[in-house]
Amino acid sequence: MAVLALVLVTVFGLMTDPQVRGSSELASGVMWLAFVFAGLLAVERAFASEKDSRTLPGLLVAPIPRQTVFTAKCLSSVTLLLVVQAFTVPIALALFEFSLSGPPLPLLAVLLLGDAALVILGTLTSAMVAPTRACGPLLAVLVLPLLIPVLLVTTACTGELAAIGWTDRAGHLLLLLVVFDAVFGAAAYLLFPYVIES
Amino acid sequence: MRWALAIVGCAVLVAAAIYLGAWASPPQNDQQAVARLLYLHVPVAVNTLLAFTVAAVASLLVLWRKSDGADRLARAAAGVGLLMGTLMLASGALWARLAWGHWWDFKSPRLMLSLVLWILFVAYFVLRASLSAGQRQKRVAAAYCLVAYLDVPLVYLSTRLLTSDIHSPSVAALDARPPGLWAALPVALAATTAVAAALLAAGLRGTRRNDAQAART
Repeated sequence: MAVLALVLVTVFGLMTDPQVRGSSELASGVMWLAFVFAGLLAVERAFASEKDSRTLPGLLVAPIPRQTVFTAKCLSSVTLLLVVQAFTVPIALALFEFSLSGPPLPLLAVLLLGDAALVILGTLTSAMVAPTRACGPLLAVLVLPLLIPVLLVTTACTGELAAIGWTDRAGHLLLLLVVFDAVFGAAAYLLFPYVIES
Repeated sequence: MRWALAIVGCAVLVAAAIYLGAWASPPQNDQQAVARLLYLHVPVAVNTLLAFTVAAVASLLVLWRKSDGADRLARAAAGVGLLMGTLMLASGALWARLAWGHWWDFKSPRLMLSLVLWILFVAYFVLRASLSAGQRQKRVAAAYCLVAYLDVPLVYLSTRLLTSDIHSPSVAALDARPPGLWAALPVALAATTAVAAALLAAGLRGTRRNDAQAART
C-alpha cells in the first residue's frame, strides 16, 4: 500500500514537466490520487481478507451490532492510510519542490477529514462487492464517482494550504469536508447492515 | 389497447414539440438556431433528474419494505435515467460546441453534475450486473442508489464553491430565445416526460417478465 502510493507519486512526478512541477495544485492532485489508490487497497483488504480466511460469518454472528463492525473496519483503514501518508506526504512535497507555508495543523485536519470520507465510502462499497470475483476494479468503478466531491475539495484545500497557508477559503473548504464526512458517515452507518452479506 | 393509446399520445406530443421547436419559431441568427437545442436539452435534463429521484425513492422502499416491485421500479427508472442522461450530455455538448466553441468545460458545476450523474447510473448497472441475483443484490443496489443520490447535490455544491462558472447560467440563453419559446418549451417538456413515462412503464413490464421467467427456471 505504502509502496503503491510512493510509486504513484514518483511516476507522476517524473512524468510532469519541471516547469509546472512547482505548482501546488498539481502536487496536491497527485498526492490525493495516490492516497485514493492506497485507500482503495486498504478498504478492499478489509473484507477480502475476511473472505479469504472465511471469517466473515464468524464476524457476523458475533454478539455485536453490524455498525460496530463497520466502525472498526473504518478505523483500521484510516490508521493504515495515515501511516502511508506519514511517508508519502513529505516525499511528495520534496519531489514537487515546494515547502509548506503556514502551520501544519490545518493540513493534518484536511488529511484526516479526507481520509475519513474516503474510508467511509470505501468500506461501504467494499462490503457491497466483497462476494464478487473481480472486486478490486469494481470497487474503483463504484467508489471513484462517489468520491468526486470529496476529492475536489481535499485537492483544492491541500493546494491552498501548501501554497498560501491558512485562508478564509481554506476554512470554508475544511468546513465543507466536515459536512461531507457527516453526510456520508450517517448514510453509510445506516446502510451498512443492509449490504453486508448475510 | 392501452399501449397503442400511449404510443399515439406520445407521438402526437413529440410531433407538436418538433413542429413548435423547429418550425413555428423562425430563426433570425445563428445563436437563435442553436437555442433550438434547448427544446431537447432542458426537457431531457429535467427527466434525468426526475428518473433518478424515482429510482432513489423506490430504492428507499426496497430497503424499508423489502418490496420486489420497488426494486423493479428502481431498475426501470435508472434505465430511463441513463437514456435521458445520455441524450442530455450529447445535446449539451453539441450546444456547448456551437454556442461556446468547445465541447466540454470541467469547471462548470452544471456540466460536472451531469457527467457524475451519468457515471453513477452506469456504475449502478455495473454493480447490479456483477452481483448474483437475489435479495442481497436488491438491497445492495438500493443502498448504492441512495448514496449516489446523496452524492449529486454535493458534487454541485463543491464545484459551485470551487470554481467561478465562466458561462452564463443556461437560463440567460433564453434571452436569445426565438419567438414561440414559451409555447415550445412546455410542450417539449410534456412530450419528453410522456415518452419517459411510457419507457418507464415498458421497462417495468420487461423487468416483471424477466423476473417471472427467472423464477420459473
